Amino acid sequence: MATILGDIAQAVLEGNAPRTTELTEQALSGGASPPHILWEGLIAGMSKVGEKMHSGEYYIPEVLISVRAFKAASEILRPRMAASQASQYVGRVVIGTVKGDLHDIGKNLAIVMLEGAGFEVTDLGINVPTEKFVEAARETESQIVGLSALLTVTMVQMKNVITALTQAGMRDRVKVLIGGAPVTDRFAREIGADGYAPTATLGVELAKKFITPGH
Amino acid sequence: MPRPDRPNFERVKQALLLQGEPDRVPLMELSIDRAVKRAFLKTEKRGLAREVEFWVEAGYDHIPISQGAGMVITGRVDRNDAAGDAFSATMLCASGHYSIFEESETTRSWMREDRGVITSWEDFEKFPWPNPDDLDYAILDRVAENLPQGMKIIPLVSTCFPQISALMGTETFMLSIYDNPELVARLFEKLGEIEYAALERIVDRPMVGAIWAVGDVAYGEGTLVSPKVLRQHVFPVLKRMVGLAKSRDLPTLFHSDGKLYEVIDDLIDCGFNAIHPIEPKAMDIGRLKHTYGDRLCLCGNIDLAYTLTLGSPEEVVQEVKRRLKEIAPGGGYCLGSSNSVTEYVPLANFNAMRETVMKYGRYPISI
Repeated sequence: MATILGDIAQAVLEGNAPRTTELTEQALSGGASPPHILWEGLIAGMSKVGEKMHSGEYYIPEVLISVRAFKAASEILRPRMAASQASQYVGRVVIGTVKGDLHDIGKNLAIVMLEGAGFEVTDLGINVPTEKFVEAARETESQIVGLSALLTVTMVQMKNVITALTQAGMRDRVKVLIGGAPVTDRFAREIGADGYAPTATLGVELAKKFITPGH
Repeated sequence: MPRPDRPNFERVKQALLLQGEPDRVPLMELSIDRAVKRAFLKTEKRGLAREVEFWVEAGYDHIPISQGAGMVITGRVDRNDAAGDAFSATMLCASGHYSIFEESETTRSWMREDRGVITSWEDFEKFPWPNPDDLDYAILDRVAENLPQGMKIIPLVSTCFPQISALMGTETFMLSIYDNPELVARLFEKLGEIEYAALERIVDRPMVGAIWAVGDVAYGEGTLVSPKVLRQHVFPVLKRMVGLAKSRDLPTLFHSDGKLYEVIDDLIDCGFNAIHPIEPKAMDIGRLKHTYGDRLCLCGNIDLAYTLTLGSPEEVVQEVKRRLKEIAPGGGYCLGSSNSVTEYVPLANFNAMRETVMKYGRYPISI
């Protein structure tokens, strides 16, 4: 079983969607549990993709073909995952591109990397009004709110989201993680965000730290 | 503060060609939003005469003007041509407070990031590719009618990369590098042919002072695709275009946001004289000056993520003075924003940048 799960991880790493789905079906037929395949196969593969992106070996096309392989196989597993297995998620995140901004490729990469790391992610989409971040965080009881923007002029909406979370009495229950081309560590500190993610991979590392007890 | 000198493209050329220190550090911008221009001139009047007046009064020695097919396809969506129409029909719109010069929300068009207008061979064949003879070169002549002595136009042509990415949709393009490499190759060939043909119709015009290839191939963390893909599809096209410009003694500039360290040697091999805009978040201009200052002119680098947009005029002054002191000596530097002067750069900050160059940018620099 360990071999086929290793092969699944490798297929994700290579971005081979047909092979990833074929091996996933084989693993299921062989009696492997869906969560086991998800964690030891698919998520293990995406973790290696993240490493290669961080080291500069993978660029956006390589990550996208791996994401495609991961998603195709995840769809096979999803209906077989029992509701109780949702508790195996390491944390919950709501994420979106802020109001007035329609870029989503960076956000979508972050979503897959977060899912690949075991987070349950609610994608609010693009051009998301401030209040929607607050409502979604409340409804999903997410620990993390992820904000993305590509322009300096839309980036300022991130401060509005933090203000709205404070006014809703939720600021101390969530961590706000921000990212996007114009975003900097300095801006994150100035608006009171909890963290700045220059890349999807580093965003996942920060998200993991945020849900660690005692952080 | 009125400019203390006359427009003189020779100072730009001297900087671009690394021919020592000109009389002062040139100002260099790829684009300045019309709201900033109108606020600077204190007029709502439009027209080419106003356009030239702006660039002269503001202290520039050049006027950048979009040319070529790439700009038509993914440039201003109000262009009246089939290629622009086919592309703009797929764009998305959103409203927001994008401009600090407008009280109410304005609308902005956005390129799709999933599927574009060309995702198959059939789409490629059906697309109304612009004919190089039908592009608007007359605007160069019309602007030239208003140009004062000593000032030149820098036509902007495309690197083809963001245009192909937009035509296919970013995600489809990235996946097609693996799924349909022949279509990707043919797209670069096609747009490269049109862009070269457009350049052939531009390079002999007397008002042209340099050529600027524009189109992001990188972001904050590195190139968007592997350098191997850029070497296969983009740099050969650019090398040919630079060769044409060089044959007419025209210096060339390359624009891309982001971190370009992995491909700077390729850009030098293409023959580019200068790189722009050197986004501070992505690249260290000091490192570039030290490593490449004898081979490349550096342009831009005044921060847009904070200084020019959210900072105070005094912060702008300090950053400009730092660049003048640390990067300008020896020549080979043109100062400007780290992308373009957008509608969210306060006029006071734009003026602080220009006026600090006028005041402290004369050679030899003594700050």
